[in-house]
Amino acid sequence: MLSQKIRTIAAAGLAAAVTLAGVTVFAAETRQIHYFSSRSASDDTMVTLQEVTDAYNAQGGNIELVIDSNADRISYDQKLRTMIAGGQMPDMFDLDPTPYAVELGEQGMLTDMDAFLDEIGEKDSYISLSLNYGRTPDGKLYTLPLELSTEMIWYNTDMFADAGVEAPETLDDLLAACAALQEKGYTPFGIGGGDGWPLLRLLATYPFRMTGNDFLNQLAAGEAKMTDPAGVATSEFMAQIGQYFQPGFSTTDVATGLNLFLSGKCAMYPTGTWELNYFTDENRPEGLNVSYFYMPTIDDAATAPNEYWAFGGIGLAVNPEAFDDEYKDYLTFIVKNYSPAYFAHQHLAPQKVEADDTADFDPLFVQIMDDTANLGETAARPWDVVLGEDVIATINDTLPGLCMGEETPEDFEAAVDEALEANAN
Amino acid sequence: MKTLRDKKAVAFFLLPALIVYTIMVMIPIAVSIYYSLIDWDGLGPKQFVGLSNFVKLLNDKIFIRSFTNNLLYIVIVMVLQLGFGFIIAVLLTYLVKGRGFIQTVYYIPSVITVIAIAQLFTSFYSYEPIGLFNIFRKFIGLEPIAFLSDYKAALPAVAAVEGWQYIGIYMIIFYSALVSVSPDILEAARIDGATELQLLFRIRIPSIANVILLACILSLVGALRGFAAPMNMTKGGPNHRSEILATYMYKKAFTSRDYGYGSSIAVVIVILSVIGVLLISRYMDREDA
Amino acid sequence: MSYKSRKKARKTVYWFVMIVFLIIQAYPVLWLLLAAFRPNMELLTEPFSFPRQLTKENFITIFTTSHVFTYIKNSAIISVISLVLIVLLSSMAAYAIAKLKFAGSKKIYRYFLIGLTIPYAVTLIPLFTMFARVNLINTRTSVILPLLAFQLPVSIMLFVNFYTFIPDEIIEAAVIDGASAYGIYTRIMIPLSLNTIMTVLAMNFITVWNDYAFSLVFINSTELKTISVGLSDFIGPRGLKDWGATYAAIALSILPTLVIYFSLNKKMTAGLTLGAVK
Repeated sequence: MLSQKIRTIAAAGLAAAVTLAGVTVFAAETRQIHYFSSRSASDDTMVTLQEVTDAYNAQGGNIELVIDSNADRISYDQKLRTMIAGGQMPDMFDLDPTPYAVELGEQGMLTDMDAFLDEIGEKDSYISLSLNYGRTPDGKLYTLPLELSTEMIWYNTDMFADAGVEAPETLDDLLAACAALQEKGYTPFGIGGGDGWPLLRLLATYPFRMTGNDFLNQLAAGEAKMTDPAGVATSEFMAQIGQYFQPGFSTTDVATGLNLFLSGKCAMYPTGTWELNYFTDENRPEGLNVSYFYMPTIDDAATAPNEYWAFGGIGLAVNPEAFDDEYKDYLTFIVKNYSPAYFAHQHLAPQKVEADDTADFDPLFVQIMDDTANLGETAARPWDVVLGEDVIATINDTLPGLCMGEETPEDFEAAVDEALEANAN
Repeated sequence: MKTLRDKKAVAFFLLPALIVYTIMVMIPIAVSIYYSLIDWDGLGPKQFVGLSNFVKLLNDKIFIRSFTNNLLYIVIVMVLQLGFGFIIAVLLTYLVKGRGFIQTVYYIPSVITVIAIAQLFTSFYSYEPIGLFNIFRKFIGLEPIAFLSDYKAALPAVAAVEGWQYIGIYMIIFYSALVSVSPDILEAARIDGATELQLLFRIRIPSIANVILLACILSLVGALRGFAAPMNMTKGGPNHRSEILATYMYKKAFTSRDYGYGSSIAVVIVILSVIGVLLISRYMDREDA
Repeated sequence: MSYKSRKKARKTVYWFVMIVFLIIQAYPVLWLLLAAFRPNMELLTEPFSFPRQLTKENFITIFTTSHVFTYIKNSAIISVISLVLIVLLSSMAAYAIAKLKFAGSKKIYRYFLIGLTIPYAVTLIPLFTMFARVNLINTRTSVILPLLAFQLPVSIMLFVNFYTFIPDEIIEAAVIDGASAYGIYTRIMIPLSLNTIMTVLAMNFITVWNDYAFSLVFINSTELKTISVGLSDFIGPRGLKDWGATYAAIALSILPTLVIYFSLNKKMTAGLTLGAVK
């Protein structure tokens, strides 16, 4: 009799517990989600994801986010490809909207994020430049952005004053400023060419100003060539500006490049908002006076001056085979809570964030935030995302030579066109 | 000796190593040969293309460049390892005290991971912030150059790193051969008035000819295996000026996802390696005779 | 010039050359170890000036932001298991090749020696697809097996070279006393080759500990990563590298090899000469 009673009470208690804690009581086993990341574990994006995961678990979730990071980007890309080729796609991973992503998507190996965001009604929470950065050329969205970055060129105001030049508005001004600075004995342009992407950004500038992203998209589609006007313009521009880089730029890593600028050894340095904290009044070396300008333009440009580099960074892709209801619930929570948490670390967030109280923030961050509010409709797309990896490999191989004056613009154009043609086959 | 012909025992002792070695080294090579005949991007279906990857190789300017670079790479590595190794070994034989210490120090670089060595030399070669070699160039009145970005200097610069790292190994090989030359013969020749140089060329070198040959082969094969130093310092750049076969293969397979083409380069490397091993076994046969 | 002063001049030149070589070989290593204690800023601005200040900041960074201890533990586990297997399998195979009598023993030996020259990189693609099929990707086994296989040729060569020094008479005597082929291995070959075992261990430790290619391609998770791959943990967004932390991790990773080398360097170099000079 007694035992019967106990059983009833126990059952009732259990039922109550179930209702209180949700179904998770039964799923006592923690679900592991393996995230293969291209960012280092100490990066604020990763820190934020862990924070949000903790918050998710605190409100009843039971997810362990296992981050396996491979911060060396080249080896990250190679590893991801070999993992997928070997049938070992991670539950969650970083992916740019590259031709490779298109291929994966066509084979049904990626989760459609348009559908997911529509389903949970969160699409409008994103800043469109950030979200749409992840769109492949065929308009599909397979990734969620974790950041919003813009890129600018920093300059040493004292050196500029000494050379009698001002922040350039056009690319011609930029070259003229370089010449004037060199005349004064400064190294005009410091660049971390060893890491590849900084040179590609400069390469993309001329075509973006002439045609928007059309030329790039046509190159990728095999409808344009480097020998077309925009291609010729940019290879000639690179040959010119290349003379003003520091010697040895092609093996200079970005850390060394940044430091060249911070230690006053070069007059300009291109980078993005992720390095912002090196330039704040608080952290900058004493006596170094700096300012920045965004992508210079050209006469009769097709794009407005407030359209430049702005994007969501490499985004989060999800393995559809692992994407069950539990995972979906977790990812929904991330989408709803990530951006405010990331913003609190003083970074531009990929979603709109209510920023009433910025008093604690660094003035420089607030200033950049204001710039971001005035961004134009489109943004330049990075070449290494749009073009095939063979073509980018060829560009990475030949572009330094062009900048050093070892290759002519014609050599460079021919090499790229050859790679484009081989890639199309 | 029936005991030593025990078939079961032979199998017991030999098979574990044989099986592991076959599965992990030889079968992958066979698979590489198979891959070299297909076209595969790691995602889609594999397509049999016969020898067309090899035909493509012959017309691939970058492959030809990697091949000739590899030859130069091997020459530089061998000259450094064998040349310096030999000179130091000869000098060491004149040393009475502290030989152990010097040997120990000379050998240290050989035990350090090549990743660290590559990192280290990237700093040494640097133009800005000025690296050690450029400090030295300035000191003797030369213009500093950006070694790893320079079209002409990049290949010798990366080859020198691998050459330098393993000098100690060859120093020790040569040294132990040199001291095995009978001191009596040397003493007799000295009494006859031979100079040290004559001793070296007339007595010492001829009597360790075998070891010199083996060292040459070891160094050749080692240079053929070279990969990590160029990969970590220049990634084969600028514009393939420091590209060698192994780096080109790796990039083709893992960066461009052209597994078939990458494998055909791998097959070329294997063929060259087998030629290396034939040289080694020819040498061993001579010893047996 | 008198005989005496010529001798003195020669001696000066001799020592000059010796010391220059000593500096060429030792300075880079010392610089590497010292760099671990220098501020990132100094490494970026004047890496070759005399260190102005030393700091333990880099070590704090690597211990707090990365799992270096896990990586070192993983490298140690992989090294120990590989080494045990290498010694066991190669001494057994060498015993069969050198002392047991069977047709084709020479051919088998030569078959093993092919592996001396095969570059690792060649096998990466096939091994990856193979491991993926049997679910071995991201396991320690996937690193241990190829390391073991690639170290077998050189180790077998060392053991065979040594075993040929063991006079056949000893073995014949044991056979007459009734020892089996197994008994001869455990009671004669192994006890006699303790020195060679040390040599094989010391030489292989360096290679196994320093492995980069296999760990890089076959291991994905932080849990299982080895230290040589973990060295690239200190890269920030878009390649922004913390050089101080990187050098601190490098210093930590080469410490075990230096310790082993300094305590066993006689054995290690003995292996070289054993292989080269019979």
